[in-house]
Amino acid sequence: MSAPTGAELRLIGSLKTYVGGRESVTVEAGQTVRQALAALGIRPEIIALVIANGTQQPKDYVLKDGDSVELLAVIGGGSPSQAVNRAGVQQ
Amino acid sequence: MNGYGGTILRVNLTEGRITRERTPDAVARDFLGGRGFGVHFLFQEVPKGADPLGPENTLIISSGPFAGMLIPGGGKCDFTCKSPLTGGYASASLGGLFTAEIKYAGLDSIILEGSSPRPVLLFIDGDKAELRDASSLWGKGTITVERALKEEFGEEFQIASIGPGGENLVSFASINHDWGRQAGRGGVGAVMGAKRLKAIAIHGTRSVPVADVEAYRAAGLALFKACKDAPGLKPWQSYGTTIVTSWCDEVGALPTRNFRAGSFEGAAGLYGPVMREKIVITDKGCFSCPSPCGKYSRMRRFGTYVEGPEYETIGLIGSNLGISDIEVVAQANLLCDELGIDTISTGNAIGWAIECFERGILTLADTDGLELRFGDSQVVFTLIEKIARREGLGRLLAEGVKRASAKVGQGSDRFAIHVKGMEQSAYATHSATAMLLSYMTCDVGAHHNRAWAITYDLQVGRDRVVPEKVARVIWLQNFRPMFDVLGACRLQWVELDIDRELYVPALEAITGVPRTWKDLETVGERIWNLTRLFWARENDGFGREWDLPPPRFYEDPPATGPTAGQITSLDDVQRLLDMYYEQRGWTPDGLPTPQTLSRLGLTEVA
Amino acid sequence: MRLYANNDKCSGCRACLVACSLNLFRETNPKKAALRILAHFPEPGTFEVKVCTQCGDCAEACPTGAIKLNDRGVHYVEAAECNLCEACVPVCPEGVMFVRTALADTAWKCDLCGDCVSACGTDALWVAEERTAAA
Repeated sequence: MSAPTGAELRLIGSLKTYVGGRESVTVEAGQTVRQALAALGIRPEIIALVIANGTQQPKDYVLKDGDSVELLAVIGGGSPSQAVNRAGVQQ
Repeated sequence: MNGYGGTILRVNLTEGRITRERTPDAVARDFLGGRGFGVHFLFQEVPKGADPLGPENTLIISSGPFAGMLIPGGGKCDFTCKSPLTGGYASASLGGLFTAEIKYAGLDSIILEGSSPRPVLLFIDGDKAELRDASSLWGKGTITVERALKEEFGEEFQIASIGPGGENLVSFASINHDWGRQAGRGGVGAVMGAKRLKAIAIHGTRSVPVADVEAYRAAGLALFKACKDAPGLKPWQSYGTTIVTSWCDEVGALPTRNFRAGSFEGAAGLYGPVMREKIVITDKGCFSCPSPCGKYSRMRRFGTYVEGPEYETIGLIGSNLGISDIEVVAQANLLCDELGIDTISTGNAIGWAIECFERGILTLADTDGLELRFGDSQVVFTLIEKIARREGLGRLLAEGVKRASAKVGQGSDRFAIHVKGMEQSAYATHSATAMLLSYMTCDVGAHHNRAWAITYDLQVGRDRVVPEKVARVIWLQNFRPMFDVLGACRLQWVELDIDRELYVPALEAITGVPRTWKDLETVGERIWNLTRLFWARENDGFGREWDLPPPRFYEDPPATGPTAGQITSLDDVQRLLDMYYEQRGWTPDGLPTPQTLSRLGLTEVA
Repeated sequence: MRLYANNDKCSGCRACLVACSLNLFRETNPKKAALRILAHFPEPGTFEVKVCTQCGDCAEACPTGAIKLNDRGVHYVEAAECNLCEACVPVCPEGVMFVRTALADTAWKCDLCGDCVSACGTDALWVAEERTAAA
């Protein structure tokens, strides 16, 4: 029996800043996407889409070994990291 | 004139006379194009107190320096007039290919004044411009008309037309183009209908001159490269604006049953990936757009096709009406497009009507025996038809929810979801104070596209009432509409997160005039204050009262969903306005101060 | 080498046409481009792209020898030698030989510059080696 492989989370765009610039990170299976995000310090409200193995899933989806999951942040004008910088600046 | 068509076409529909004027250098320098030209000509052409549906109102159609060029998203056209829906400023933005053709015809703006005694078509082919009889087209749908005119004149012609909605002066009638794009909001289609202008057919073969062709080509290709390299490009191309449907449902921003709630138990059937799988056949883009958000769909059940639905239509005709079937939403979208009425206002008005019926404020006598219920597709299809034809209950709803609720009374104004008379678009703002402020202070009424601040709310705390949020809304209001001024789409910057500095060398290479984003935001601030002055000029006693949100958002917390029990207090609403007026340099009642007008060089206007 | 197009990926934005006219004429004018976008709407709701396949039929038909082969193996129009006879136009199997005397005093065609590929956001266009029947 092979060792558990975990689930691969692929982070698109500015989400990479939460994981030191990496394109993807492997997390333990058996937890929800929401829990995995919390462990990475990513607030779930900023994730627009969770696409697991090509199908959209809610954030309560339970990750399985071998899953490949794309996470897309809601952007809408400034990435999350930029939003706070722009706050309060009278342009 | 570098970056411009060079000519303003003035069409006097009363006398049937068309004249040309050189685009004034000072207007191009100070207002650039698009919405900027729109507000300039609005003040110049429309007298105080003009009847929006009368001959004194002017519909100003403007392209801009980025339109028709090798600039990503260079496909936007502005339609400005006094609004028959709100009695204030209307500016609607049309995508597709129309704006590019305006440039190739050597034009920058088309000014439509007066009112024709009989239905006409404006035919523009290069230097030739004439009004032709359109009585055989009157009564026909917009897609039908586009097909007929393209067959008659040729595929190279671009067509913009009104449907029965505009002809019947529905307050939120739209102007349609390129099979499924609209100048949708504020009743611009009704103004065109009041002028009895059924359609515009335009064609041109000129090249657009630029100041420095090599620098422009390099800057344009650099912008395209940035778009193509953007990590978010593929998801955006796949889903377009439907990318946010599931997110809005999750965070309580999806309007549900006349904005009673912010999430809908049937929303899963409306989500982007579900829609793509069920009905989408082609990703359709506007002029020069690398990130096509348009989703052309085929509805097998009805044997029909539509461009759409996009998020707004999904929100207002889907969840807001309790409809969970995306194919039904798509078919309703098609009916609105062909009949020529704005899907946002239409969905919002139908939601209000259904709630009125549920409360016994409207009865079977008012609805010609139709039971109005949420989740009933026949109600939706029937009311869309009635609104466009101003028949039965449609006569009331065609006035917009502000006038309709004033007429009906019985407390129905408490759940008429509008600001300044414009029906709110698809973000439920029970608890999202920046977005709420955005809707309250938007210059055309409750429209979302000036300051789309809902993600910012979620990032920094949705119910917080702090100066930073107000500053953010103001910055977005000064900045985002500048894309409309330039004749380009903002979504490449908004959704692909490309560096906006890439636009700067492109603008200079095209126009020959160096401008920074700070310069452009100052123009944006100037335009913002001008449109505020227009509202004040046209509405006695205009001020803070007009900026108040729908009472539902301070009286009526949702019973269910992620924002259950949450609401913004009226005290917080007033605090938001206090901070907003102060930061904008306006009086406590919301009018630009003399100092602010002086700083912006606007003392003559007031 | 030749240009290829995938109709299914075309979104009808016409950026390729602008990039092309800029390359050929240093002008912004989609009507002076050397490829065509056909829009089939309202049904079936699809776009079709017509590109030069470098077949050489135009060069064969040209009575003045104005359509030449450059050192990249690409057929192009030598403007000075074009007499606007239009013999090339009907023989092009893709309809991408252009003569519009109101717009230019020469025929024009694709010279495989690749700018259309750079401007295409949906990867509907690409340049590749000619595929043989066996490939």
